[in-house]
Amino acid sequence: MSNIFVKLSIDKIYVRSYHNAMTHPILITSREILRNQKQVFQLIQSTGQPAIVSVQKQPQVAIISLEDFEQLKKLKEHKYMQSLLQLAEEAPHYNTGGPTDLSENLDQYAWGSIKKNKSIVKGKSARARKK
Amino acid sequence: MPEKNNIIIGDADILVALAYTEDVNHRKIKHLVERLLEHSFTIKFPNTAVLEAITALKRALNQSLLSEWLNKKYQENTFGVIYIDESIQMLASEIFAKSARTGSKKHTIFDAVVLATAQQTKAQGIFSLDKWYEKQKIPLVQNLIDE
Repeated sequence: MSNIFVKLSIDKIYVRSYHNAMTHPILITSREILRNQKQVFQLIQSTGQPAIVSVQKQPQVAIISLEDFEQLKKLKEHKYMQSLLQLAEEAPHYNTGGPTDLSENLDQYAWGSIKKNKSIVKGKSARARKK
Repeated sequence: MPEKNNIIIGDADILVALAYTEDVNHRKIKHLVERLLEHSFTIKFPNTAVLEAITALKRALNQSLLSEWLNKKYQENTFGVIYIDESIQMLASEIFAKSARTGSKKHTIFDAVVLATAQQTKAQGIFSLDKWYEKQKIPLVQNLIDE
């Protein structure tokens, strides 16, 4: 009985899905997936419509087509690149008077002896003077 | 089917150059990021490179404000990060051992992690100012795109 109901509801969704596309996901339970896995996957693949899987009436995860996954991945990667550029644009100007070759001699500054570096020694004594 | 990999692995020096406006490479690196964006590449930093950049900023500058700012940017998920797992660290360890045998004293295990991450993810190149990576048969970004 339950199987018939699920099949019918999936068929109904299938018809509707062509119009709603990605913005209106299919709502499905984890039990329905277990019983109708093949149909659900076919539906998602053929319509591109995502399915939101709920457990005890609470939405848990979404299943999307591989095509949508690639698009989402690209969007996320693009967002990362843009925010990296934004990071460079928003970088604060603290006027530290620190070394200008930090990126070129990173290992030395990060792990080397601080005393070897002139500008840091200068800074240290300035701080010491304040104290 | 997934398309061709567009990943570039970023080193700590790139994060430092981007975050530290007084750095001599700040503008150049920013321009290269713009070019990479135009070519649809994506930069991912091994988490060790993020830690290295934060450490360098804190140690080299007389105040910790900039390192705190970069740390905050990490918390805000501003850039792509690849977390080092056992397989990457093991590969890095092998690269480091080989590098030590060939007499390279300058390069740290963190450089080996960057290279191992690039090899493991089959990245298109490495974004760094360090020319050592070129000798390891991984192209640098500067050679991948026209500046």
